[in-house]
Amino acid sequence: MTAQIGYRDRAALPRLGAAAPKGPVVLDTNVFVNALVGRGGAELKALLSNLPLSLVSGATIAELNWVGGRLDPAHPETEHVVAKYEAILAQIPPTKILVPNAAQWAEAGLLAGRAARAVAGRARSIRTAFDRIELINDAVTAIVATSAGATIVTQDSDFDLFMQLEPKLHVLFYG
Amino acid sequence: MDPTPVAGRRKSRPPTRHARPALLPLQMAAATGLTAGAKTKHLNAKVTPALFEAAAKRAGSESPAVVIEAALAALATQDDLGPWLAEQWGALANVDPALLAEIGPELADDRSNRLS
Repeated sequence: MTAQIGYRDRAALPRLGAAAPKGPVVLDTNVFVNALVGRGGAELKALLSNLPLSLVSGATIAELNWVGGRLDPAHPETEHVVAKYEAILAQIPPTKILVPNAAQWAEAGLLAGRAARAVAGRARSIRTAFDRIELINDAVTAIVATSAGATIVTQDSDFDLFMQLEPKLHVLFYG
Repeated sequence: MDPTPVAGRRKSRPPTRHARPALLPLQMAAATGLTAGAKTKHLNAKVTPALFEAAAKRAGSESPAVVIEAALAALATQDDLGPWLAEQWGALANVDPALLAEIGPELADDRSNRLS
């Protein structure tokens, strides 16, 4: 059954601007990263400007914090960049963070594995440990967002695979 | 005038699949202590039936108390993260690209996961 699943053409995906979010909005990590550098398009900026309630996956919290540990402290601009990410994290209260329980961690692992199997052997596939970790983090976001009845806003095409495997998942793509 | 008796409208019905999003703000309100303690604040308000029915559908209940509590929770748990992030748009646009590339694939040359 998963043999039919794969990365679809972007024209086939639900797009931010063309469709409205169903329920609350979960902002994926790339939304924060792109907004800070001014990428993402007018639709994303318009959504953010008028968004009354934002949710964030625990996986995104980890990825945003990763910046503080990853950047070279000796670089003259690191302090400025890390301060901006710390400012983002300060804007996210704990009640807006969707944290997976034990069963959801298991669901996420299974979903990521199914997605990887679906694209195995193709031009774009999950090959490295980095790919696996990235996919599991994304699957965590997909699982907790589905449980919350929320729509994920992202530019990450891995969520296209998850949508095909989990019909209850709502995603809007930008960029 | 709405012909439906008040008592009839108050009859609860099973939650629909739309109920979950409406309940999420209640969960967040509870997490911040907003729903703890005695309910001593009395509210008396008139609204249009259409507004009430639309809110009741989202709340999964026709009980005015349930609907009002859900509506207040939705309002009370709103946040400014989205608008704040929009205000930060491009704040790091002039940072050294090599440094930004260390943050993640979104900002590196290898953007295999991006839609493009």
